[in-house]
Parts: sequence; C-alpha cells; structure tokens
Amino acid sequence: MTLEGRRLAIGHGRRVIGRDIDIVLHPGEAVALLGPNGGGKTTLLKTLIGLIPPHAGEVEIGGRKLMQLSARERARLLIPPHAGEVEIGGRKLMQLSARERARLVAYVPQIHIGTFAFSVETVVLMGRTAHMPLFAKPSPRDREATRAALERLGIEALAARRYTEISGGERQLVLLARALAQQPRFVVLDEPTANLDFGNQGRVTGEIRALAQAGLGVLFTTHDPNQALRIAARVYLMRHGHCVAHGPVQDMLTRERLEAVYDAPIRVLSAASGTAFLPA
Amino acid sequence: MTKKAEIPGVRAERTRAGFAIACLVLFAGLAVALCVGRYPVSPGDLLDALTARFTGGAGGSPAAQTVILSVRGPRVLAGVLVGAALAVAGTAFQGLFRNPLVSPDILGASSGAALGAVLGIYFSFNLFGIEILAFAGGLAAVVAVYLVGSAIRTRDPVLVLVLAGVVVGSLLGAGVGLVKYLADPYNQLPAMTFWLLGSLAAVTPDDLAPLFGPVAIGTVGLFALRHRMNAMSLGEEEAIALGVPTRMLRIAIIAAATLVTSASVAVAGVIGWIGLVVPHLSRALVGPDFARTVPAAGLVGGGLMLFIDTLARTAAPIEIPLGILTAAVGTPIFIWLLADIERGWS
Repeated sequence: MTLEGRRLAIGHGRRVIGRDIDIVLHPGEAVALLGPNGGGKTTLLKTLIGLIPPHAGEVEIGGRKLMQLSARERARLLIPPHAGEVEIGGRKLMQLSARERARLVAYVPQIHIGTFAFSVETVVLMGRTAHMPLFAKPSPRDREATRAALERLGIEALAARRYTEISGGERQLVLLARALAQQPRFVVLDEPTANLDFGNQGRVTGEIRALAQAGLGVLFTTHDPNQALRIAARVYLMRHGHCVAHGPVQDMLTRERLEAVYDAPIRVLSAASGTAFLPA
Repeated sequence: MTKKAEIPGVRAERTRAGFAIACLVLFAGLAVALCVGRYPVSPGDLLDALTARFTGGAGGSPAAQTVILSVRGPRVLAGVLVGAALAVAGTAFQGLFRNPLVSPDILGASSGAALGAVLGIYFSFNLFGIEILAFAGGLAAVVAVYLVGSAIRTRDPVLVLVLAGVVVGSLLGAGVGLVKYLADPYNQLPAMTFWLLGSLAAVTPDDLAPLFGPVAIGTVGLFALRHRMNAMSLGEEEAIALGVPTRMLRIAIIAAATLVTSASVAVAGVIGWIGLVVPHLSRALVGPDFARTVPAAGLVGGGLMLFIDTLARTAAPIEIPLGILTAAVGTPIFIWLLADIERGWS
C-alpha cells in the first residue's frame, strides 16, 4: 500500500502555491519534505492527508482517489473544491470517510497547548476516535491500545499528568503516542522537532526513525537538512511550491542543491562519524 | 498542582468525589426548593408527601402535599430542566468553539427567542403563543447564523459561526429594542421587561410537556456525543485528521444545544450565566474530559438553578427576576474561577 500524490497543484482557497508535484510514500520508509519557509511543505502535507483538496492532480491511498467525492462531501473539507487526487494503496483518499482516512493516515501537528487541560491519557485516547462508533465510549481495547502506545514511547508515567503542564518534548511524544494509538499505515508529521531543545530533538527523531523501522510510512516536514539526514531515506526538496528535486538522501543533501534551494551559502562539515550542514 | 494529584488512583478518587458533590448540589437544591417558601415544609413532611405520592398511601399533611406537588413541583421540575439544559449546552459549546467564555446563546438563540417573545407580547398573544413564538425565534436565529456562517468559506468555520452569531444577535437585539419602543408602556412594556429578565414564576404544569420534549431530545443528544467532544475541542483540522466527521458533529451539537436553549428561553425567559459558569464549576469538580464534564454540568446546573430560583421566590416580597440573580451569583463565581485559572480550566 502506498500514499501517492500525482501532478498535484496545491494551495489554500483559490490561491495556488505549487504545481506539478509528484510524491509517493511507501510503508516502512521515512521521507523528508525539506525546503525554505513558505515553500509549500505544510500545504503539501495537508493535501496528502485530505485536509486541503488539491487544485489539480490526484492523491491516492491504497489505490483509492482522495478527491472522488460529491460536491457535498467536498464541502465537508475546509476549502472550495479543485481538481486532483491523493491515492493511498491505490484507493482515493477523498472517497473515504474521515474515519476510514484516519485509520490509514495519522497526522501529528506542530505541538500546541490547546484550550482544555486534558490528561495525557485522554489526549492519546483521542487517537482511538476513528476506531470507535460515533456514540460509543472507549472500550477496553481502546484503553489497551492507548496504554500500549504510551509504553512504546516510554511515557506511561505521564499518563495522569495534564497535557498543558508537561514539557514541549514530552508533548511531542504524546502526540506521537496518539498517532500510534490510531494504528495507521502512514504517519505524517508537521515540523516534528520545531521548538524542541537539543536533547528532545534527538529523542523525537529517534522515535520517528523507529516508526519507519516498525513498518509505517513516515513523511515529515523540516527546516533542517541535518534532521532529514538523520531520519529520512528519501528527500523531496521544495521551493516556491515546486518539488525541485527528489531522491535518496545522499544524492539530495549536497552543498550545491541545498544552496540552490535555500538561496544562501552553506558549509559542509565532514568527519568520519558523518556529515553536517551549517548556514555559512 | 501537587504531585499527589497526578497519581492515577488519587485522580480517580477526586473524580468520584467531584461527582458526589455534583449529586449533592442537585439533591440539596431539590430539597431546598421544595421545602422553602411562603408555606415552609419540614424535610420530614417532604419525605412523607413524596412517599405518599409514589406508594399511593396516605401520609403527611394534605396542605404540605398540595404545596409540594401542585404548587412547587412544576416550578421545581422546570428549574431542574432549564438549569441542566443550559449547563450541558454551555459545556458542549465551550468545547465546540474552543473558548471558555462561550455560553449557549452565542449563536443568537436567546436574542431570537427574545424577539419572538416580545413580538408575542406586542401582538397580545396568550402565554402559549408567546412561548411558541419565542421557541421559533430562537431556532430561526440559529439557522440564519448557521446559513450565513456556511455561506462564507474559510479555513476556520467555527470562527465565522461565532462572528455571524454576534452580528445577527445584535441585529435581533435592535429588533427587540424597536418592539419595546413601540409597545404600550403601561401594559406591554413591563411584561416584556420581566420576561427578558427571566423567571420561572409563570411556569404551569402544562408547560412541562412542551419544555420536556425538546430539552430531553437535545440533552440526550449532547450526552451521547460527549465522548467525541474531546476531539472536537482540538479544532477543525486536527479533529478531521483523527477521523471525526466534524461537519456532521458540529451540526448535531449546534442543533441539540439550540433546541434546549430555545425551549428554556421560551418557558423561562432569558437566563444568563448558568450556561457560562456551570461548565467551569463542573470542570473544577471532575476535570476537563467531556465524558465526565457533561453529566456533572447537568447535575450542578439543575441544582444551582433551584437554589437561585428559591432565592428569587423568597428573598423579597416580590419575585426577583432570575436574570438579575444569576448575574449577581454568577459574577462572583466567575471571578473566583478566574482568580485561580487552574481550577476553572481543568
């Protein structure tokens, strides 16, 4: 099963910010969307999970087209209808209900605090929404999946704490646990390490890599080439709404390509233990 | 927050204690509302009268029975229904609109119902006609707000709804002002003013059935959806990504809350504050998880309404309008909650 966008034109409302984007995500691989601010990374991410319909092109999941919808169903989304499809495993994503989609793709937003001081357990339990009937209360199975997700990330001790009172790094792990509790095939993360300190960046990137090793397809946006280097197998370089290049990390993350994408000089540090990029 | 409260067992215990307090508020409210008044009834007489009523046997003084069952009974039932309904609707709306300052009339239900009611009084309808007009006005106002809100396509449908509610509400308020200006100042205007301030004094046994229907449907609907309100409170995009059919759920929550608010306003007039303050009290008691906040809000709202209504009947030689008392009681409670944000929010 793949999550695939073909010839996508993306944008909010009537404004198209990017065109002709082809992207594919396989199970068990981590893929980075890398590029400067305003390049369309987050918009592409949201298009791929059906939060924004594409202006043109197709998104498919398991071979089903995301946008094959009646006008009424499309209106359920936030933005006027355009053309285009997202497919996942050959299924068009928009043919699916919100619940079906959520069982296939989990979305980890940038960390936020939220309005209400829910406990960590309650937040992770919300990941089970797509598995519960509309009026049902969480079943023992939902509670079990919640506990398992917390344990897998080693944060079961936080379960009774308030989500608003834990640290930023812990919050990001909680959102990861919520995505795991959702038991999806793909996990899509928006700037998973933004606003995290150095130590927490390492912890979160480690967990993201583990998700891909466990067989999930992982797609994330980042500003940091070093992070893409650490986690991803493949990279899509985005600039001005275009996917300017994509391929294996070692081919994409070169000084020439990065300087072209960011329009700024970049320094490369090489050592036996690896490579790192610095803004010059 | 102390470390102690973060141990799961302690937290579960606190939640149980919170529910016990919520039940206590309701039962104390019932007892006080049935016993206190111009004809005081002792708790013993109250028990006798109730057992006699439900077992069919004779017990207690007939006078106490009449006061409890015929005079105070309908008003007390209406008070519980209205208080619980407004509190549950307020809780649902605070989650849906992700804002702790939202009350159930944010989408114009009260203003629409008020315009309907003053029009009914202006055209000299009977009480039932006024109630029907008020109910229809509340529903129509919210439908109008919803249509305006969905006609404007944005990335944040919830924000547009709130803004449309504010705008339409103030237009309806102007309409109420116009009708009051045109009304007969000696007969109609005092009736309108009294109605707009809210009161359970005019509630008759005949009001209970029409009030009970919409309130029951709306409250049961909100109660059934309480588990999904957690995810809804995260906002549109995140809720969709979690698999919540947000548009359908938003319509269901708004419809249910509007049903109970319009029915309450139609029978009891405009009663502010309950729908705003009780959700906070409920969160302070049982925590922010809507699965628990919604039922606790119903219990506390019903009980608090009874205390306030008893005050309205007994504190002065004349009925004090409920709206004045809820504001007088609600403001200090809200300031107390504000002073300790933690208590109010969590």
